[in-house]
Amino acid sequence: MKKRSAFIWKHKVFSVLLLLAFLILLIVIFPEILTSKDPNAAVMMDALQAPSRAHPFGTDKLGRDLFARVVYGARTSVPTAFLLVFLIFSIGSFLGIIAGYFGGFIDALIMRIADIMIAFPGLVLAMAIVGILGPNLMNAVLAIAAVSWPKYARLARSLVLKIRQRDYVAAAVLTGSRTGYILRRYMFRLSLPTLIVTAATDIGKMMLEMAALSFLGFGAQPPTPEWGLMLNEGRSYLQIAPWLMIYPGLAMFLVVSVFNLIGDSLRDLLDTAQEE
Amino acid sequence: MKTKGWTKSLLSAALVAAMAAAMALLGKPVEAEDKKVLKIASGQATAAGMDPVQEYDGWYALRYGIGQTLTKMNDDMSISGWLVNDDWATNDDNTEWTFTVRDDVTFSNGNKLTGDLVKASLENVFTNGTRGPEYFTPSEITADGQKVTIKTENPEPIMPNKLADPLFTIIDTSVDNSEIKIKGPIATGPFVLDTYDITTKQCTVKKNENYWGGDVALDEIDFIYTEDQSALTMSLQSGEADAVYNLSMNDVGTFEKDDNFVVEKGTSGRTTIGFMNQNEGKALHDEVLRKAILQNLDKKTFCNTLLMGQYTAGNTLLTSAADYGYNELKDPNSYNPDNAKKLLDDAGYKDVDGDGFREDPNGNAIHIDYVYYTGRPEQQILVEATQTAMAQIGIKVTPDVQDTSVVMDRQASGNYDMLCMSINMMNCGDPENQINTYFCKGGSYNATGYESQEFNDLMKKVSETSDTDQRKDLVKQAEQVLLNDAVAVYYCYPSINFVTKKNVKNVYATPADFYWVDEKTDIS
Repeated sequence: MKKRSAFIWKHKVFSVLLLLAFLILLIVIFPEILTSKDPNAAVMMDALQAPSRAHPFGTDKLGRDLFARVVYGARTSVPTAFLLVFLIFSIGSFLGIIAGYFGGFIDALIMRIADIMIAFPGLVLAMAIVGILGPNLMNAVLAIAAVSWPKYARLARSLVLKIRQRDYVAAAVLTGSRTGYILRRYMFRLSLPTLIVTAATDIGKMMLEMAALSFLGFGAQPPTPEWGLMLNEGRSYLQIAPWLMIYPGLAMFLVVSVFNLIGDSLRDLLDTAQEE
Repeated sequence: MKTKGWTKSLLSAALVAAMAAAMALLGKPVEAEDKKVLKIASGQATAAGMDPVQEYDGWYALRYGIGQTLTKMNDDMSISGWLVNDDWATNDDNTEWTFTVRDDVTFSNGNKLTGDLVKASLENVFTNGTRGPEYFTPSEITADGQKVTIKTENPEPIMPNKLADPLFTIIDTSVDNSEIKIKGPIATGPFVLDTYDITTKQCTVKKNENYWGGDVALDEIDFIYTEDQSALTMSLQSGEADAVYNLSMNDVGTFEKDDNFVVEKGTSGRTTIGFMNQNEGKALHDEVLRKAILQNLDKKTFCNTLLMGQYTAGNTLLTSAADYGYNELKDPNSYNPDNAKKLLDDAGYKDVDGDGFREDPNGNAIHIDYVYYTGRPEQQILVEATQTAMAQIGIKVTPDVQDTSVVMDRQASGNYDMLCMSINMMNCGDPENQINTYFCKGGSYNATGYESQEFNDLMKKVSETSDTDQRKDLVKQAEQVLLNDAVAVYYCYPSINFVTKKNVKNVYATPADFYWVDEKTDIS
């Protein structure tokens, strides 16, 4: 207990950010805490009402409560960003570790595929992929995953190349450790901190990329409450109902900032830990 | 030493050339200032090129001031002569029409418009286009000097109306027209096509130096195309455009309050229609489902609230702006959401799998793909409002936004469940042709699968009747058949607007919707 409070005291910023992230996750799981309204319930007579007591963020073009939509929007944006990061982290790291450890033909094959994916501008390629698969949230996740994994593969590979030269790896090989064990115990474990820091900073980025795809009509489809889509929907009402863009934008700004700052603090934390 | 001198002279030559180029470049803006250029932005552009006989491309020949037709539709939807005199005549059974072509008309290349060239241009519609027979089928077209006689297989009581359609834009067929799609036609309008980019759909027209109708005030008009409604609004505010066609209902109010802009509004013959694909095998083949959808749409609220009161709620196929039964005809499927639910319950539409949406009586999921485009501001909100309203009675509708040209292709091929399209039903001052095109058997954009003997017979009678009142009566009866058969959703009747800067003159929002500019169009 003492140790924990000492940690919190030592890493005040990180702890506060973690608390904020926890609150965001709480809202994602239990949006009812903040609003009792249904984000899809449309009262068309009440369309485009300015923020008021009844509708703190106003209503949208179909008379839906914007506050409820922003709150429920977290439910779309945050889990998809986590799912995305998990996907690219696992696929990228796995392929990178294999490539780095085995080298030769496998390395060349994996890394050339990665190079091909990197050669295209990410979002444009993602748009092309969704264009072929058909626009929806799941396809958008797959498309962004398809263009984002090479980063992890390259990172993991370079880390593994370094780790492989270490004496203890040679010792492990010499004492007859099985390849699977070496990959898990040494290669994965030792590259993990760096990969985790990268993954943490990527949560915010992935959220923005998903929102960008939805904004362009390639991600979430109406009537899903999703921040990027809401921004796009609000665009044509910018001059008469600016709240349609302000609030989803603000929500996105806050959540992305929290996760980006967590990523930064985590890097500081793990870097110091490694140095120590 | 010698080499050095050579380099020196080369360098000075280069310098002189560069200076000359710079002078030339500097000189250009001065020239541009002298030129009167108008920039018009719009969410509408030609789908396939500038050949008037293809699809609806003739609309752009007219809208851009390049082409003209023999007759012209006036603002009260009456017809008068344009390239012909008003003295047309017909025989008793309306199978032979004689027109006198004006004597003072020339094409932009200087060729005089003769009866023979009119004949050739009309024949071109039937030999190179596909939509001609929806209007009339000529058995013979003859020319004698400036006189042109059109004989038809069937009685054609409203021939002068039909010839006002942009499909019958008069072009010079005596020149090489192999690249007409890109280079545009040689026609008689106050402007000629300068550049047209088939990818961006941007188009520039220049003054027709040989214009027969007098001096053309402008030197050039640039037509800018984007389907993005907010970009259209902002292009006007930023000064990128001088005029915007059909500005979004969301922003018209802002411009009306601003003294720097003029909002020109006109009634139109348009109806925003939600077509329903009722071919066998499609979900909407079942009349019960179609009726439930119709009874669940609160069109009045859609128009008054979502469309800011800028549109009139639909009731009949034909607009309230024309006298075709808007206040008389009874819609058996008017707004009644409780009955909509009851209809579905009684017919066995139930949510079997618990996903919140009903399955059809055989237990198959219903998934209605609703195709629309954003080139007109009302479409997206209407489709999304439909989706929301249908979700409330457990019918799953998925909006499917596409480029306008894709939507038109899909309308012709039937690749949709529902499809939202704004159609100028009165574009010849008479609805006969458009009804044929969109609802009659064999119509080029009718892939709805709707077929009713009663309806087809009524429309055939319309085509043979010359008495105006009788025609109206028959059309109303046909409209009632469509209402009874729950054929399509008539959402609303849009009014057309042109929002311009204060210094722009004579840009028009007319009921025909294809006379945008003329020789008097000007910017100061």
